[in-house]
Amino acid sequence: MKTDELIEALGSTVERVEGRPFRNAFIIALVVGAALAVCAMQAVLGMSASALRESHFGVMILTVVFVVGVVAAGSSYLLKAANPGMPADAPMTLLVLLVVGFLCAGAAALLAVHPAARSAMIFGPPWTVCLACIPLFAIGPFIALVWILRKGAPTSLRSTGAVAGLVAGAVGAGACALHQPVGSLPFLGVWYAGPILLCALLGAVLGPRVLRW
Amino acid sequence: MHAEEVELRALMLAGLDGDASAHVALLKRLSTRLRAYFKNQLRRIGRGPMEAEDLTQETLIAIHTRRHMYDRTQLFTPWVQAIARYRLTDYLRRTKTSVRDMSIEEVQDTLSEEEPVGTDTRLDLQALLTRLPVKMRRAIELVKLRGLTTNEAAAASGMSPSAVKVSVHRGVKALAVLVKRKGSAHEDR
Repeated sequence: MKTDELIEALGSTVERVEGRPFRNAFIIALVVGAALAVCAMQAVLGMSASALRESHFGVMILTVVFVVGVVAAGSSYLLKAANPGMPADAPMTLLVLLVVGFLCAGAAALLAVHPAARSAMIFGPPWTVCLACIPLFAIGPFIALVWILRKGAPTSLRSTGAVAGLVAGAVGAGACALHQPVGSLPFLGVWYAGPILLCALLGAVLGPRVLRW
Repeated sequence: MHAEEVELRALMLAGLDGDASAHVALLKRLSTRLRAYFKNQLRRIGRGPMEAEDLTQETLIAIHTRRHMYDRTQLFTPWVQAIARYRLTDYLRRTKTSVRDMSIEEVQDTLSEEEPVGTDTRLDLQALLTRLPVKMRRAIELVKLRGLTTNEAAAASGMSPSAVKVSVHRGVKALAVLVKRKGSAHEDR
């Protein structure tokens, strides 16, 4: 096909673009992904009222802050990364600060207690649940995010994939927290942040393959 | 550049508002720029102009199908450039091993790269030749390898032209036997 013919053909399907269709679709994908994560949690573990009762209130607030923060900053990054030529440094910095800050807070809380109590803080609740379930619950949101990002135009596939994995991991962690009481800040730092970072790593590995458009 | 940015962006915005003719005009102007960009980039890595045309079309399609992504508050040229760069890297990754249209220089490069293979067979032949009687070897070297005529070979070797002919004839037969024997020895192994 000649290029001029192609242009004429493309010109015959020009529709008016209104509002910000991509942003709206992205939010819908995120909500669908979160719903999938909660459904997976319900199917595998089942929601427990004790999770909310037994969780330390301060730690629970921190969990919510972490999950919501990562999802918000990550979404802001992804919306920019899906649009060519858009600098996304600010949300990326925010994201790194959030994760590093959380890991540091966990480490600080660990150092603040007596060494004998440390192991109990980290290995107290069934930590294997978090390790296995957060990546499992992240699969749904990750697929939803990849689906919507491919409708956009991401140009740096590895970092976009990493952040998509991070956001999916955070959503998965949020779902996991509905089942299991979060015992302590170090527990959060190790068994929540760890699997979430694992999801980010997987996202970075998969990104260049699954996000191509 | 600035004037062009203003013009192209105006066309893009009109296209986003549903003006098909503005959209076509935009794509036409972009196609010229994109073709030049891709030709330039591909020439640097020694690839041909046919691929530049493919890439131009791919990029125009990408711009068309992703036009909803364009943020009206942003500059237009960097948006297009980022898409073009992405299409180029994606294209190169996809076609890493296949060679679609080679320039003459490249073909020559490829041919010269194959030379070592030729050298190997030659070494093989040399090894076989050493197993022939001196007269035959000399005649074959002169006539078959250096490409001399029978008379030239006769003058160079001091043999009579008919002796050269006979030597070449017998030598080639002897070589054929040697090669056959070597081949069956390989199979036996």
